[in-house]
Amino acid sequence: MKIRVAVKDKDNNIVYYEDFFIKDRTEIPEISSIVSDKIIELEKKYPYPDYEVEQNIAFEIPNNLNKNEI
Amino acid sequence: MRMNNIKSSDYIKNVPNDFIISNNKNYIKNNQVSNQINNLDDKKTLDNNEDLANGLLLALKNKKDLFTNPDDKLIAKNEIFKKYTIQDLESIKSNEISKKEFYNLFNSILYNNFYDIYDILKDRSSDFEYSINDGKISNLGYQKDSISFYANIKSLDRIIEKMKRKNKTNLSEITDIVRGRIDCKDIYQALEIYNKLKNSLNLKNKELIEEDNMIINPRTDYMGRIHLLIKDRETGGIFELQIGSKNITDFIEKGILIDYGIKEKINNNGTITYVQDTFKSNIHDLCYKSLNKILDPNSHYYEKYKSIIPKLQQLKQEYVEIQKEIFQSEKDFSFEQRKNELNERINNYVLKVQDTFKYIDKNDIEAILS
Repeated sequence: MKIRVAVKDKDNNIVYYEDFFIKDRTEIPEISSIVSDKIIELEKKYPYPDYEVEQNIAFEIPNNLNKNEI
Repeated sequence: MRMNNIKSSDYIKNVPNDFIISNNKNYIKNNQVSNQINNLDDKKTLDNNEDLANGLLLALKNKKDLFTNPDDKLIAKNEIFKKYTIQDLESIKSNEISKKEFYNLFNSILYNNFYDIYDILKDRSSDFEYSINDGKISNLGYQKDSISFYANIKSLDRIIEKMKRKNKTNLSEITDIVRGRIDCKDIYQALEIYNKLKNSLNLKNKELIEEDNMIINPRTDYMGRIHLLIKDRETGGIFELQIGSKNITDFIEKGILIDYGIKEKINNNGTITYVQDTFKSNIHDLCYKSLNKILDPNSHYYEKYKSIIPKLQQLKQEYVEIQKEIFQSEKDFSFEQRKNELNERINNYVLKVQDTFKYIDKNDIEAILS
């Protein structure tokens, strides 16, 4: 499962993004915390409403991930 | 024929030559059991081997994450945040510890729901397929499904804006902080997924608390989707999930670029440059959300744009008509035949939207959509 934290400008252009992956359910608490820190850091650097920090998650299998895992 | 639907004792007796079953995370376990089956001299031996049959059934049925325990700390945090007012939320913005707790909670709700719902969907997609030929089970490999599933959370600023706009008193009244969408190849697949979720959510410690099925009961101006509110008993959070036809989604979310012409831009050093003034949006935001507001005779926009109201009404009407045509063509299985004709109609519609919306102030659209 891929999490993309992205910063968009007012015209919806992505000015920055970073991806995080959850391979196993047990990683949820750790990744939740890491992503929270990242969002807070980006919100400081790119203040609203000129920019907006958002995260989207989707299912995706990165190359180095076993297909049997989410 | 799906393994899930047959009893363990019937398993070997009933397998056809091209038998396919869906697999899960216990793939390795299943393979071990499969190997044992393949090594049996006689299929009948299995009927007398209860342990092996039960092991096979258990391996196929058992999901490791079934009935995971509720996280009491997250549930308690959620209960606290639910009571937060706009002022409380404003204060979080300047307090890094609270802000971290806030995002941490909603991230957990998001990831937890996404993970479990994906796991339910994965079952139906036959991610891993087996084939039985000459009594031998062999792994065929991985298959991707035709659906896409994605999700996100509203930012703190957006939540505050929505509470102000909708006059909400506390956070519990906002149900779409954590939301997701499943795009399906058509309305029939959407219904299939809806039924699958309805039957399986409980096994993932989740509860369907509200549903609006606009495939069975379409609205006059919105159809082809199912909106669900799911309560996650593990985190206490609410997940808003929309399931719908990709064809309708592709239409309503088709990008629109409104060109307002050239505008002056004053630079930091006092010089002036001329830039193209544009606004990026999509059909749903412009022709549903914005037009609903502008076409409301009680709104001040109605008076402001009085001269183009008939044109805007036509746009709204055509938005509904195109949606209905896609919906109907999926219902009667004629979508593939009508695809080109519908695409052409949509492209012409986009031109009309671009042409009409350039007379609507960009700031007004932004204010309506904010």
